[in-house]
Amino acid sequence: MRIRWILTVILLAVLAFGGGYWYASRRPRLAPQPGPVQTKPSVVVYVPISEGNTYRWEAKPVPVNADEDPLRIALEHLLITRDSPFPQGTRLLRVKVEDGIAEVDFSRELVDNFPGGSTTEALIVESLCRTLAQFADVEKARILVEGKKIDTIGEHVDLSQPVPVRQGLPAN
Amino acid sequence: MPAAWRVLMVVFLVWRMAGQMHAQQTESVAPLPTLQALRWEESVLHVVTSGKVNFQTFTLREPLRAVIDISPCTLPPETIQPEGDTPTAVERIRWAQFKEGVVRVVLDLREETPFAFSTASEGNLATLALGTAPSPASDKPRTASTPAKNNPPPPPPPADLLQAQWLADGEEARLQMQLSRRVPVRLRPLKEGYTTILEMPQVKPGDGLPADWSVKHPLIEQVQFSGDTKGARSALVIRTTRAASLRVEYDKEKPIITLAVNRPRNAHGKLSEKHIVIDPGHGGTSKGAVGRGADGIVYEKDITLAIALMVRDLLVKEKATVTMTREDDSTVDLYDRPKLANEKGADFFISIHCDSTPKPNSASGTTTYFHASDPDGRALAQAIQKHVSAVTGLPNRGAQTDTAIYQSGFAVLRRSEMPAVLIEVAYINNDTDRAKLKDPKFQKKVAEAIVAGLKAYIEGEKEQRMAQEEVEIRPAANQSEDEQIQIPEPL
Repeated sequence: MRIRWILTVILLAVLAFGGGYWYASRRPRLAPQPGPVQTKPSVVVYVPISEGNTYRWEAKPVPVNADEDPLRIALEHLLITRDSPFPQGTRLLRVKVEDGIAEVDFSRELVDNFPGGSTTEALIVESLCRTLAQFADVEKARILVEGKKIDTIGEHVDLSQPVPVRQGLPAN
Repeated sequence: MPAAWRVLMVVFLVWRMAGQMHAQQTESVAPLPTLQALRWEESVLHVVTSGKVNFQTFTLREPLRAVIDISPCTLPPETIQPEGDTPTAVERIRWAQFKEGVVRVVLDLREETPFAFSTASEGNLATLALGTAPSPASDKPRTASTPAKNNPPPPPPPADLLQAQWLADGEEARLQMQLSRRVPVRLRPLKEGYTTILEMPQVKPGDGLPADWSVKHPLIEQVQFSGDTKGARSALVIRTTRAASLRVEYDKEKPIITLAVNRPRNAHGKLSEKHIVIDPGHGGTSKGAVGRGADGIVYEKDITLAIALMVRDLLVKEKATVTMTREDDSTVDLYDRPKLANEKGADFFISIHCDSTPKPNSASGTTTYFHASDPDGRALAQAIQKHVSAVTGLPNRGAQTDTAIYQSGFAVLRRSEMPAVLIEVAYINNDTDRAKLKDPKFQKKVAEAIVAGLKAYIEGEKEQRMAQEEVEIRPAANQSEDEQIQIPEPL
């Protein structure tokens, strides 16, 4: 008697399991709803990659958090990123945009640690200009060192006036 | 009937359990939507996914790319073949699992191409229409420190080159080219001697062009045209017999461009009649580039001075007038250097430098820079580069515009009113180059080559000077100094 009772329970359990599984499988299969994707604004920095006789510009994306200033993040990243042409130890002290001119204030190392060469100097200025050009409100850049205007970094490029950041594409 | 209740409870629980197990199983295998198709219809790309996704699009530069990020999304196990013909504006289309849950589709664009992007409300289809500017409504207002939206004008169709003919105009050689519309072109020196290329990237060769582009002219040795009908690019390679000034004139009304070939400024008479300002780069507190090696430290300022003093002595021997911006290790302001040359009314400004790159040993060779697209500076740079690169035994990096890397160019060239060049003899942070730079014999060879190049610019190459004596060419009409040179900025 007891055995029959147990068998009945097992049979019912099997039927219930099968039925439950079958019922669930009949429901339409829904792909999981994609949740809203967190899209952070991102900026890019431009660094030169030596290619034979010339340089290719590589755009490196940098994520920016909602509470951060994309311009500042871009410039800070430009100074430390791999292949940055900026002299070792250069820090961004301050940046402000007024009337289309970005005043970018760097630490002394920009000049003190400048290793020389017209190529290096041109690469520094060009990487700065390309990086700034993505910001719609920046038309020109003025480079400062420790709050003071400079005429040149390494005695080749003319920085006595604010330099335009956008241009017809350069020769390379 | 507590026993029956218990049985019913067990049955119900097992039922629920089975349902949950199924749900879990389906959840764990529920796939992310996959990228299903990439289909071109003319210049419109349709991106199809198997389920609802988010699409994000943006532009990247250098090289120019349009990017579509699809999330959450994976690539299907089978390979996707893009359907339809890729439009000409797109070099190629690529896609990859950019990171977990994000598939990235990249269009490598040949040129600045605007596009409009829209998604279907079902969320499984997006279209990217090339050549259509985004609607103004989708343009966010420009705010401080916000990355700019790329909203370039639609790409213009290529211009047809309809006719080309040489015109005799005194000593000047003029090639007049008629186009179907105005497009910018660019002159760029090639490395070999006096060879210059006129690049016409948006020009398609028409049917009425001459088979032979050559012309009989004492300044012109060879002219070669190459046109690519499919790619809509054309180029003209001009080899001159000596350093020549090449400039492009754009007709103000008609789509006509004229390539004018002339003797450059101050290229008449003898070297002995000329006044040359020699500018040894850096000096005093400005050491310039620093070369460091097992053999010690060497400063750019010392090498440039050594070469410059040799150039001075050689020019004095040639009876030319020479002004030095410095003759010893003194500090000279950058802007006083071209100012001195302008005040003296010198005929030439020659600045001598050694280059350096961010990474040691990453570059080697000799470069002569001229300012922007100044035709006389280009001619002088070609002449000096031809002679200097022949003696350095280092790679010839050519005569280059000083805007090659940075658009504003070099201060001393920009501010000099006479034909001016800046010679980067070699790279001080390259071991091979530095060993040469330190060698006085090498310095002497370079100094001699600078003088030979300057002489060739003024008097012509030796072989040409002999030919001139035979042919007896009339002296050139004076070129007006205030002539407007209409060279476009680099493309």
